[in-house]
Amino acid sequence: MTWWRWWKPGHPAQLVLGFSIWSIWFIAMYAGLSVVCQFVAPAPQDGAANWLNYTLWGLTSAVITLLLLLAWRGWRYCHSVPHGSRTLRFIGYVSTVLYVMAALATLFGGLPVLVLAPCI
Amino acid sequence: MTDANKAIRSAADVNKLTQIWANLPGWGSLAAVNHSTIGLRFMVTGMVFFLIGGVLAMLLRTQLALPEQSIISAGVYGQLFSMHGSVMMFLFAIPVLEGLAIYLIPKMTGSRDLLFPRISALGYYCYLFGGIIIMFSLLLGIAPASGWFMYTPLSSSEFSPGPGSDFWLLGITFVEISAMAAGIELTVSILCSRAKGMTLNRMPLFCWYILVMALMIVFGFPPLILASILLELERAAGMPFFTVAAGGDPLLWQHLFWLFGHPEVYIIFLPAAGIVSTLIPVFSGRPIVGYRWVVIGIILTGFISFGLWVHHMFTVGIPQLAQAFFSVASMLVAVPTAIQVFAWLATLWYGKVVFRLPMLWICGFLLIFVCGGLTGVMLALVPFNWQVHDTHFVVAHMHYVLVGGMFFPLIAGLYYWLPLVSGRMPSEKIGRWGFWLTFSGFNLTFLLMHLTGLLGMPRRVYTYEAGLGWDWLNLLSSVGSFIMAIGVAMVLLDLLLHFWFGKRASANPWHADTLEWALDMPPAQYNFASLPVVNSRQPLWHDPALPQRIAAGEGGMTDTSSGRRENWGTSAVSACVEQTLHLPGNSWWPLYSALALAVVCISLLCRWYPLALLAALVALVLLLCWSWHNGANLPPLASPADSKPALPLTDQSTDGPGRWGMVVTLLANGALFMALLFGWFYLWTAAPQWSAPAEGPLPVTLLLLCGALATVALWQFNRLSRQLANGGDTRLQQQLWLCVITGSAHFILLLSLFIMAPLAYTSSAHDAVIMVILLYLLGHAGLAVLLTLLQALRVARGYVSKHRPYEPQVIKPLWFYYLAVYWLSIVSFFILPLGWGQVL
Repeated sequence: MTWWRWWKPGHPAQLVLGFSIWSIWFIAMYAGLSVVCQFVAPAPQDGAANWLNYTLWGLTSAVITLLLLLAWRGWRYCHSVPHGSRTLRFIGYVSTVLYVMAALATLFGGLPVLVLAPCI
Repeated sequence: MTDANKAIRSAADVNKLTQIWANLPGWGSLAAVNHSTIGLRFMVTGMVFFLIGGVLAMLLRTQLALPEQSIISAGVYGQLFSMHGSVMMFLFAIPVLEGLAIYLIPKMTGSRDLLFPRISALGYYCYLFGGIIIMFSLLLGIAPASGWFMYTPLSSSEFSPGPGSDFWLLGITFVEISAMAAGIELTVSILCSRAKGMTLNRMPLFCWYILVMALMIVFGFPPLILASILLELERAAGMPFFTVAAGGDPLLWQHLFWLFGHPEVYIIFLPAAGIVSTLIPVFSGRPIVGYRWVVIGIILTGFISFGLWVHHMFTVGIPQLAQAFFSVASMLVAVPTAIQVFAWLATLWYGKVVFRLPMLWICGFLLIFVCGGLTGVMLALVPFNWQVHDTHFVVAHMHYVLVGGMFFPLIAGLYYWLPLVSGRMPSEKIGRWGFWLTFSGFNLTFLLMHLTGLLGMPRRVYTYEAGLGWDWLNLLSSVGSFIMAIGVAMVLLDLLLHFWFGKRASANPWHADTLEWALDMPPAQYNFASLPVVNSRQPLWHDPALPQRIAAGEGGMTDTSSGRRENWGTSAVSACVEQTLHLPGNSWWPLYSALALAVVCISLLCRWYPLALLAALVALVLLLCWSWHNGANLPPLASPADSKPALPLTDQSTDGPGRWGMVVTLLANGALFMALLFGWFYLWTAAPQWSAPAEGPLPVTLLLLCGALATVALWQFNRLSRQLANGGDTRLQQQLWLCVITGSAHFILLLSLFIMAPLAYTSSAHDAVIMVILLYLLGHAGLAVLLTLLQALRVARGYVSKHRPYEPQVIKPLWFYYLAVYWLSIVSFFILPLGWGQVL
């Protein structure tokens, strides 16, 4: 079993990879926030401008970048697949859209860290 | 061959096929495993539970019709609403849809059966027995009364001292075996056994929906199974996972329950949406608009629905930022639903819609479900959620989503596929009366209930004072519910009567496009006389003569000489034929195993622990015997040349459905482990009175040594299975015995550590969790060793060899899984606390 092939753009694992990354991001955000708020909560008077929110936004930005890169790779792949390979084009197209949607979901999910204090 | 000869041969083949696939007569039908039989049993049983749940609802509405009534006491009311929710969710909605999927998937994908038919039968019996056990609590007047979500501490032994909660916890867990079985089986069957040419992009949308639903079951149910086990351990053995004073936290239950509970809504919705996506194109006379977008919507729903669970907990005290995450996710889930709704509307717009009876129910669905979705978006907003939390508004929303999103499409689907099952058409007249009564009754009941909730009426109260403004609303809601009940009764009457009085259906009566309509009506047990080859997304529209060609034996797998139930095994993406699958036939093992498990369940309910242990051992022996007989068990091959036919059998290859089944099962197992890990970290960080001993309960060096033994055992097993896959079997049996010895040494050392560990599991949540994880590890280590031992014995019988390398490849992922969870557990439960213990 060569696990590396799962990362190739035409592999069906690509259909779930985008939102798997989103899921990990989601868990990391919620778990990280909960743990930090429990033990080293930033001062409430800092509002949204504190190290925790900056870190969470940094993570969000990194994940969005990764997902958009994967979407771009998928899009290029769709154009490189011969017209006869409909199944591969299907996987490429669907996974590309899912990467974009995962990026958007990450963006919308992450936006609250720009305006809300974390541990109140 | 002349036409006459062809006809004679065809008739002989059909007879042989009928004989091979037939259920046993009389009582022997209890040993049936065929997907059509099991699917129908699921659906009929589910409808019986639906009637029971409906009667409970009528009782509730009778009590609430007028203020200050005392027809039903507060205690009985608590039992009735808890059982209504539990029956409808666990004993009706999921099983009926599973039954529909079990019945339809092989027919739609061009197969003769699901790939693990005996697992289907086991699932059915677990469902049946579990359901009966739960219903008995109602008959005895000791039903659970803590709501269908069983919140702690209300459901804990302090506040629910009777056996009601135990009935729920044990009964529902028993029933969930069937859901897990269906989830695993449907996933593997859809991926590994489709018609030749039915590539992923040609798969009927219904199959996509069921695939995602099945995977959601695989990941969504384990948290509830874990939660139920933990709560039952707390109630029966005093292990305080949810008791604050001992370091537990009742909110952990809510997290684990809703980790399951919210995806559950979509587990119910997706198959129903699959029905809608199947019916709308048929009645519009054109392919669905945006097939790819609908697939995207389905996958999106599957993922995002796991990120919403906290919106059920907005009032428990969670930081506003965390609430915002879940609020956004709750709104995001409307996007994939909207994609599907727009695809359906566009298909209707561009098509020439024929408003037959099923379409009436689809239209009802569209209207009600969209309204339910909109109130869902309202509830996703935190401030509004706070205002209407635990009011009748939420009850109304939930029924709009579940009845609109599941019941209406289900009835549409039942009407649509009825001719396939019976060969007869339903009555349009009775059906239309049934629809309009149900539709108007439903809206009268639940549309007004939104208002009742907004006026402040809390849910789960057995009566209310007059003059609060709720009187007329409740009265009308109750009137509406009885109108709806009359409508549902008419529908069920129509469904029943049509078996005798319905007109004979013509072939493909709805002019549908999918393969199930290529079958006889009702279909033969083997479905397809010859397996179809598919070249399009709408095979019957593009090739109307396909049914005749299938019947004439012009498809694949027409040779019946093996005398076994055969099917094609195909590749997951491109649906290329790769192997011949021998599917198991009628068997008593599933019934016997389910009976033994039922005895375990009842013994635990009655606290007869020795009997429970004995029954558990019997169940284990039965399951192992089943696995032994379920293997290929063909005579040893005479020569190597025999081992390479044109299309290999599964046991002659290194990959097949059994291996896929093992991997999917381990995914579910992994979800349970992750839920346990979540619980551990949650208690550690959030439980108000969490306390951990200064030193770990077990010596880390010995745990590391134990892990080293497990690693060696895995290395040995991996080496021998790779050797087999590469065509070698030198000293295979010795290698397996060596692996058994190493694995046993690991197991014995771990068991010794467990016995010696000074765990105060009744007074400390910390120690209780440690105990559970150790038991989890011991169970898996024991299983891996036992299965390896059986392999060693099977080598001696010639069932495993270089010509039959398959079975060790099935067991290998279990070893890998076990090693991964072992090391992860050691780090998370024993090493990490050493460093962080003082800090946290």
